[in-house]
Amino acid sequence: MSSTNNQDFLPRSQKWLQISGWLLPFLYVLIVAALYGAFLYAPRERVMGEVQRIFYFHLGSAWNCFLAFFAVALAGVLYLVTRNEFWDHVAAASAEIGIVFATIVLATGSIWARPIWNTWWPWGDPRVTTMLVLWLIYVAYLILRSSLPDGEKKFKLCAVFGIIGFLDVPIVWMSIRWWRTIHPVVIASSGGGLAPKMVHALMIAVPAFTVLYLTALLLRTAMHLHQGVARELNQAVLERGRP
Amino acid sequence: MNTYLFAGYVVVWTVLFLYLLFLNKRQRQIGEDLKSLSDAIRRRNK
Repeated sequence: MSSTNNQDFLPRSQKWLQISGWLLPFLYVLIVAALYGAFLYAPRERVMGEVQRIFYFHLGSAWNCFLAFFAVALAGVLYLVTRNEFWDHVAAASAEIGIVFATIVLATGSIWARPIWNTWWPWGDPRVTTMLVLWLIYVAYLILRSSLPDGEKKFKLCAVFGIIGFLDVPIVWMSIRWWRTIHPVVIASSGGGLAPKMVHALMIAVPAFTVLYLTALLLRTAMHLHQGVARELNQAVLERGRP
Repeated sequence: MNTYLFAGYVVVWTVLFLYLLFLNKRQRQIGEDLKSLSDAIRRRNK
């Protein structure tokens, strides 16, 4: 089943590689603009000082890690509905990129917490703990993927795992509203208390990271497809070569 | 304070760079798979 399927996806993956190439100039411009916004355009925060500038890339990564894990869940649903292996490749690529962003979120959050909260890691804080759980869920997802042989059973299990794992994302998002926490509420109905120039800087950093996510997703999915095709063709050649 | 800001951005770029290295390694692996495939086809056609 999968041999013909993966080869059918080849024209699509070529197109994706082409689109990711087109996205690269936008990505470079946006990243430079995001750095300008974070370091030069946004004003110095009065209480936290310079270290607050970590926040722009921290939030950009957080938003895209949620987006990446949403894509894993969506691709899981699409796989279960269509039984098309293509969606499994998308889910695998998105989970991997989501973990990269989640790692950035946890690391930058910890570095910001040291001077502000006087601790590297506030154990017991709901936002920090649920975020760590989210990271662990998707690390487990990748371990599960690598430990199972390719086939419908693996794709089905991973799709279900990806959908259930996504349930932690709304919990992470709502944790600062549901429980007592020292984590600041940045996006609130009252505006979150950010200066307009800080909001502008954030409005550049988040799209910059979103374009980075999309570029990486296109590239990584295409690589997954190519890897699958190479493996299947190798297998076919070896089988035909047998006496 | 500035040390923490510097450390924060060093972490961001290091994580992204390491991911790029990982992608590069995977890409090389695919290249090797394709090479062994073309070798196998050539051997069969001899």
